[in-house]
Amino acid sequence: MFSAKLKDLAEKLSVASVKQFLAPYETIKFSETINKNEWFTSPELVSLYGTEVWNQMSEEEKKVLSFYEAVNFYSINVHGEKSLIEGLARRLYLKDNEGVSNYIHHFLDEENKHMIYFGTFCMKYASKIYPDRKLDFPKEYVEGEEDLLFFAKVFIFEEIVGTFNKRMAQDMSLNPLAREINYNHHKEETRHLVFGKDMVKELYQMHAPKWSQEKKQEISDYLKSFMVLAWREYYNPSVYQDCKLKNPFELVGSAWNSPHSQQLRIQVSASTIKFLKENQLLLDNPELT
Amino acid sequence: MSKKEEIQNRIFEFVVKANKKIKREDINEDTPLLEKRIINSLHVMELLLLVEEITGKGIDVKSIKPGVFSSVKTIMDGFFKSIEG
Repeated sequence: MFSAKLKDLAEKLSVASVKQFLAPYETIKFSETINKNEWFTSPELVSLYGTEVWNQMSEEEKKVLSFYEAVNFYSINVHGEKSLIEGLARRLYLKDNEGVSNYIHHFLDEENKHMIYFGTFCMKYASKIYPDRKLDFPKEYVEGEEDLLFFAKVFIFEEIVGTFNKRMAQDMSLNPLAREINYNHHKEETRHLVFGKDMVKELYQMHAPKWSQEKKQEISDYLKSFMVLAWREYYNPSVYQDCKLKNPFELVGSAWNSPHSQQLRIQVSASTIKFLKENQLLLDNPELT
Repeated sequence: MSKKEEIQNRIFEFVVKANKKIKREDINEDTPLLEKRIINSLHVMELLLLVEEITGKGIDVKSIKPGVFSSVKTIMDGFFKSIEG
């Protein structure tokens, strides 16, 4: 059973969701075509930023790359939100989730809207969504582990996305539609993150006392790998192929290893790691460099 | 060292890096990596990136069966069979 504090938070967030309810087809207007000679991703968030290849590109080529990086970012979000919606729907009205189910309805509604923004952009202007590269093999869980991992993974994923959204929502050099998508996503995700953070904390406190040290280590190792992989998706060879860059698979390594991108990953995930370590979900640091 | 041995070594290196409890001498090409939980589904996704980097070709993730990642041998047979040596 969740604490009165978490139930109260879920109630407050539900009130805020009702108050700030957005109609997705009215919130964002999509023009018929788009001019690709604009920034769609802030340059310093482009995976190749600061690499040799980046430095040799013309401004126009960089902008086209920033467009496909935006399509990749939105595709990552579509896939992330699809799994999130599946997981949230399964948890609706379960006895264990008494007191938070009402907020799960808002969470689901808002995630569906985000997929509309992201999916419409990708299909309208790039005619595709980059395929999901996640694989999931059947796994056996001990009591409480599946719920904890579900919410912890959502939290890790959304923290990265949230930082990207926040930065790009404020970047006035960005194409207005790209800025608006980032802004609207960030606005609602902030509530999801507050909820997710408390949920992860309570689930761990509720179940961890029953777990062995070996299980706790296994959970920590799993989340560390997940964080690395969540970042890996931002370095997509298909993006480089679409920009007609040479040796796209080698570029993944150059982008991942560049000092700028290493620094970005450390900086963006610092608070997530701190929170997960303070709450014992991570026993040591993930290898982000 | 042949090209095939070089690739095999990179896969062994990856496995040892993925699971710090394992030493290179603890595993051979037939060691069941997933069954013994030496690597998990998240590691497999990283491994896929390594395979793509080595082959220089994209892999359709949906076409992959978990069996391909059972051992170093199945990985070699699944992705690098045509390489000489």
